[in-house]
Order: sequence, then structure tokens, then C-alpha cells
Amino acid sequence: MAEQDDVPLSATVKKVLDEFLANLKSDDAVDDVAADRIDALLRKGRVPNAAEIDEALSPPEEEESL
Amino acid sequence: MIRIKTIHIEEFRGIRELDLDLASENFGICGPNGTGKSGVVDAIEFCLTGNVTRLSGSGAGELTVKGHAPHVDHRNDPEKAKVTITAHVASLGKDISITRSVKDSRNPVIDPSAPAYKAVVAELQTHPEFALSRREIAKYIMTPPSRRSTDVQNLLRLDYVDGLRKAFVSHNNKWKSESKSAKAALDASTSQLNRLLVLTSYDGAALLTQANKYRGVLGLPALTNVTKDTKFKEGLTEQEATAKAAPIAKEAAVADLYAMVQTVQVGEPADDKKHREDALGGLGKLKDDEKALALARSHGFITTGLDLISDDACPLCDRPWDADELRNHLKQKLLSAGETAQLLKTLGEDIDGVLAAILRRLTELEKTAGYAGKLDPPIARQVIDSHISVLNGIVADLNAFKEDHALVDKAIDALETEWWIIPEDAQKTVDEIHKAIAALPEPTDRDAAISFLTELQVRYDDYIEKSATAECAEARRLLALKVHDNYDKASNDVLEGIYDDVAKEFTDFYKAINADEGKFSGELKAEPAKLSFNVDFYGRGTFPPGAYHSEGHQDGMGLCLYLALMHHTLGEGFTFAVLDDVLMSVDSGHRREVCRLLKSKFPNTQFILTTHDRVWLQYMKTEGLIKKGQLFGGWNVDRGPRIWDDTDVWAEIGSALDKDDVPRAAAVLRRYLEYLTTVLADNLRAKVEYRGDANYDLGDLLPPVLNRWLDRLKKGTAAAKHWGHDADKIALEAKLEEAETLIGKTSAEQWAINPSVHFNEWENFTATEFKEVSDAFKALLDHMRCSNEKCGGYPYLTPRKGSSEQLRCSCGTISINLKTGV
Repeated sequence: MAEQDDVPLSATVKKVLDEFLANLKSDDAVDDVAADRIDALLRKGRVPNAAEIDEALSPPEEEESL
Repeated sequence: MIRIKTIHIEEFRGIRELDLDLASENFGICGPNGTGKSGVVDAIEFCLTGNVTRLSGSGAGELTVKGHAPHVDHRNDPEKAKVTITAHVASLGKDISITRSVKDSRNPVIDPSAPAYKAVVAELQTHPEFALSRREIAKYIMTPPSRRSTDVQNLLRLDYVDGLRKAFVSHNNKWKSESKSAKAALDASTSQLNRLLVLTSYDGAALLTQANKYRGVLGLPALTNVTKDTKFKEGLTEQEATAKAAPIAKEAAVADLYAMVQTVQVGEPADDKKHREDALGGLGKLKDDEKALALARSHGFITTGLDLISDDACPLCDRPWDADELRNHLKQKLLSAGETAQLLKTLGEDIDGVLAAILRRLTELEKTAGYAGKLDPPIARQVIDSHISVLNGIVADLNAFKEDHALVDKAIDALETEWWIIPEDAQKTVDEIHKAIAALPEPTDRDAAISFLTELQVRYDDYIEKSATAECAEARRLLALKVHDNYDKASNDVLEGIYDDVAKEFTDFYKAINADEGKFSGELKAEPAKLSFNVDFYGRGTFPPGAYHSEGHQDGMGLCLYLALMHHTLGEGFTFAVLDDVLMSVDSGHRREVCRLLKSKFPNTQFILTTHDRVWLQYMKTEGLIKKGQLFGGWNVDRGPRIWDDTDVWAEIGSALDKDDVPRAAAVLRRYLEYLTTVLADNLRAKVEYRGDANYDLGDLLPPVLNRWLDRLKKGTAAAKHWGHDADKIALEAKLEEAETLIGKTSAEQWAINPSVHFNEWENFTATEFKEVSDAFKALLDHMRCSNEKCGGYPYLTPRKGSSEQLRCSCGTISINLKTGV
């Protein structure tokens, strides 16, 4: 099935995502790169599942090094 | 957004063919129930969005747009059912034409077809809320907070925000559960390691000391520290280690078996018992409540289904579906499962608690059974294995329920099994193993050392592995929690700001139409997954709108909240709204204010308003809210609605007189004056003889209205004189003189004493005689109303209660001071 990516987001949703990204980046417990990845995931406009969130927060190569 | 210029409807719902010319202005549609008004609303919604809410939303049942939007005679020819709207797009400064047929509802013909025009239609499709019925408006007011949260978020296009919140909650719960399981496994592993080391809690230094003690027995150098890679038998050849190691480290085995005996004697630990009983209670609730059980059964399935919808066809059979429609349908099902979802969450936590306890027991049993096979002669372990199978069955059933909530009965059976009791035959075998191990000969110091270090390595490696898993799971849990909390904070901060703005605007709107409610205020309070809406009730506190306010007030609140939400969502883009019978129960005392609210606060919004109340339509016209309207009067299945233009009343009278149809002209004038005198009696607070049945005829209302008008002009003249406003005084004296002359021409003053001029006799007049009457009333009414074409309203007194201070019209062209005191 084709991915339903890049659905237009309303201004309010964008505002929430901007605020969320700023919160993540100011949180020392969250890596900035991971924050950017999760932000990119959410801006696709499709609600991600838990596995996709995991992958954005810690990609597979990072999991292997744990 | 757009402003509609024309609508052309063919074979759609109850309409065969209909053209409406709105000219981008507000428009009223009036007719009794069942005459086709809502068919027009459906047609507008369909043309602009491709959907008809009443055929696809909740409660639509088996209805579909494709199957039931065409006229019944064309139910099998959906290509015949189509709607064309021409509209002005302010943002482009151009006109657009949109034609949509039911057969190909997802592909409207847009002219011009440039991307900018298609984007306008795409934007309209994301805002189906521009069309709202009275039933729909109630959902903002009377629904539970959890449902309101969703409805309002849908209106604000915030469903994605809520979808993400749920995704982060689910992600957070997943890692909470994973971390808990990993911690339980680590606890069991630590417990085994500690038993070997005879420690009550893990201590690396003590471990090193013991390891070095046995290494010393074997003549191996002492280890200086313990790391995750430490090899406790380092220095011993593999052959030496395996050849001399006893199959059972007696001391450790005795400790393991003793520990198990102890836990069996304790029975079911109190914490585990509470988890089990709570879980049984929750499962019982699910089982007793068929609806909840059905929702629980479908919850996981629906969630999975939602994840799978990403294309416009079924991934299995390729049969086309409308992805948006299907997604919304499934979301509606999930919404009603809110409480069930909470129950399932608690159930999951309790079941996890029980599972952790059973897994601890399984570890002990497996260890014991492992010793049985290593004994010489070996002891048959089947009965222990059989009990292990039973416990594994319980674990499987509980995990199966977590995956599929339909398996509630098996989960109940599993929880009713007394897992903490070891069956008699198994207990006998355990005792036998215990005795056999206790009877094992004491090993030599060297063999004991090798056995100890071998067992230590096994348990330590397991401990290290479980520690790493638990640490990783805990780190993931904390990260998931951080992400969830950050998202919650971000969305709450943004939404609270929105809700505060909306509540403030709602309050302003509501106060504008209910000046009698004093210090009214409304508040929207967002909490996770719910949105509370409370309003002030005459200063006695804030309550849900349905608590004390009347139905009419609730309708008003629904409208005000809708307007505030749309204004916030679309801002200047809120140029168009269809209100289908939304104002039905607004009482006459507040109709004028509603008209003024729409006119003054939303001057750039085109409202299309339907009503079955002719007086309401007149109110809208009188207040200048609408200029044009369409009357629907009757319907049948063959020809659709019967309509006629809502033309100017004087033109209608003139037309009747041209045909010498005095009775018709008289009826029109009488009906019009009956309506208008109710407006004027209210505006001027005329002193009308009270009737309990509120059944006032023209003779009851017109004389007091005219007397009041003269009286107010006199009062204004006196006030102008009092303040020394000579020019105003002269103008008002002239107005008063004109009023007296015009009233005289209507003969209304003589109705009581001269039956030949009474309005009941109008139909017996000649056309010429009646024309004099109608001209007289037209002149009188023109004399009373505002001369500003943009206003044209009839004046009213302010304030509405107490001493009149001013006689004014909406635009201020008429502004007569009535106060003579300071």
C-alpha cells in the first residue's frame, strides 16, 4: 500500500508540533537528533504506531549497540 | 472560503430541479417541514465536500450517499443526481464553478481547473462544519465532556492532535509494560543469584569475595573486580572444569529448594492477590456489560484496522473504499469505547501483576525440575512438568486476553485457578528431589569450588543479561514518558490558549443575544481526553449548559459556541455558513439580537439560514440580516418542492390589485401588518392589552403601537426642548406632525368606532379604495423605518427594561434622546 505521507496540517496542528519540538529540544533527556526524527515523522500527517515512534527515537543501529 | 452566487440542483434528495440565486448575500429559505429545505442544505454540503452528513454520519445506519442521495426515482442512476454551485472566491478575486455528481462524488468538475481553484475546493472538503443543523449544534452543548472534546477537536481540525496524544499514550504504556516485565525477570534472576551467594540483596563486593574464595581453593589467582564479562572459572581448562564439576551444586540447590518451599508455604502474596481479585472484578464487569464487551472485543481490531487504512481500496480484495469516510467511521466506534479503554488499561496492569507472580513460580519449578534430571538415579519430573504446563497455560490464556479481548472467559478461568498451590503429586516430587539433593554426598572442596563457580557463572550471566534488558527497557520507558509528557504539555498549552480565546468570544456572543443574563460567562476547560464546558447561571455558579438553562438558551449557546469555534478556526476565512433550522427554538425576545449578532460580528460571512417559521424569516429581513429568500410551500415526490420568490410585499399587493384581486391584496397586507406590528410592539414596548394565549390580532396591536410611536416622538420632542436642542426639537415636531397625518390616512384610529374602515372589511373595498389604504400604510411604515438603505430597520427603545432612554435604529441614523433628567 502506498504511504499516505505529507497530509496538509492545519495551522493549529503545526503550532502544537512546533511547541512539542521546542519542548523536546530543551529536554536534556531527549537527544536533539531523535527529536528531529520524531518531528519529521509527525509532520507526515499520519498517526504513527508504537514501532514507528520507537524507530524514530532509537533507530535499529542504535538498538543493536545497547 | 467562498461566497455562493448560484445553486443548481438536479435529481438530488427530494428535489427534481431547482435554481437559487443568492448573489453572494445572506439568504433565507423558509417553508414548513417536509418541503425540501434540508434538501438544499444537503445539496450544498454535497457539492462542496462530496458528502452528506445525514447519510453518512453517526446514526445514518444503512444509508449511503451513493445509494440514497439521488432522487428516489433515480436511485439506480446516480449520474443524474448532481449539483452545481457558482461562487466568488475572495482570496483569488475570481469566480469558481463546482459541479459534482453522485456517481463520481470524489471527482468534482471545477472550473477553472487551475490548482489554486482545486485547493479552494480541497479546503472546503476539510471543513464540512460550514453546514450545521440544529441536531448537530446540540452536540457542542449537551454531549459528555469526552465526546465534546472530540467534536470540538474535529471542528477545529484537531483530531490529528488527539490521534498523536493517543499514539504517545499507547507508546508509553507499551514501555511501561515492557519495563515491568523486564524488572520482574531481573528480580527473579537476582533472587537466584543471591540465593547462591547467600545474600539478601545483590552485593558485587560480596560476590567477588565468594568467587575468590572458591578460586583460591582451585589455586586460581584472585579476581580484582567484577565486570559484565567476568569469567569466574578463568584459568581453569574447559576439560578440567567440565570433568570435575558436579552436575548439581548441592549448597545452591538446597537453597533454591528451601526458598521454594518457603514461598509455597506463604501461599498467595497479598499484592498478587489484590491484582488477581481486581482483574477478576474487571473481567466480570466486561462480561456482564454486553456493550462494553463488544467494544472491548472490537477495540484492538478497530485500532488495527485504522492503521491499515492508507489507500482508497481494501488491501486484501482491492475493492474501492472512501478512506476518509472509513477512517471516520472507525474512529466513531473507538470514541464510544473510551470508558472501556480505561477499564482495559487497568485490567492490563492487574493481569501484568499476576503474570509476574506466576512467572516467578515457573522459574522456581523449572529450576527444581532441572535438578530432578541431574540426580543419579534421576527422579521423574513429569508431574512437575505437568504443573508447569498448567501454569504456562494460565500465562498463555492471560496473554491471549491481552491480545484479543474477546477471550474474556478463558482469562476468568485462568485467574480462578489457584496457581500458588502446588498439586499434591508435584509437591511429593519436589520433596523427593529436596531429599535426594540433601542426601548427596558432600563434594570435595575442589569439586564444590568448581560446581559453585560453574553455577555462579550461569546465574551471573543471566543476571547480567536480565539487568541489561531491564536497564534498556527502563531507559525506553523513561524516554517514552518524557516524549509523552512533552507532547501533553505542548498540546495542552496550545489547546488551552485556543479554548480560552474561544470561551471569551463565546461569552461575548452569548451576552450580545442575552443582555438579560447580566454577568454571564462561559468556560472551556481541557483535560486529557475531555473538554468540560460550563456556563454561568444568573450568578449562582457555573454549570453544564443543560443543567438549568432552557432549550432556547441552549440553542443560543450552541450557536454562539459554533460561531466562536469557526471564527477561531477560519478567522477571516469564515466567509460562509449554512444554519439549517438552527434558530428554531430561539424565543422572540432574542431573535432580533441573534440577527444583529450575525450581522454585526460576521459582516463578511455569507449565512444561508433555513427556517420553517415565516415570522422568523421576516425578522431576518426586517433586521437587514437577509435581503433575499426563497419560500418553499409544499412538496410531492413527482415534482419536488413547490417554491415561490419572497418578493417585496408592496409589489405583491400591487400585482394583486392590477388583477383586481382585492381579497388577495387585503390578505397579504393584513398578514404583513400582523407580523410587523408584533415587531413594532416589541421594539417600542407598546402597551398592549395582555392575552394569556398570546393570540393578538391586528386590531389588538396596531392602535397601541401607533399610540406608542406618537408618545415616544412627543417624549423626544420634550427631551430636545429640555436640553435646548432646538434643531432636534423642530425636526421632531415635524416628524410628529407627519406621523399624525399618516396615521390618519390609515384610518386605524377609527377601527373601533367605524366598522366600514375596519381591516376586516378590506376585502370588500374596490381596488382603488384599497390602494389608498395600502399606500397609506406603506407611507406610514416608510416614515417609521430608518432611511439608510444599508439599515432600513425599525427603531427600538433602549434599554429593554426600565425607563426608555433612547429610540434608535441599528445604524444610529435614528437616534432620539428620551431622557430629560441627569
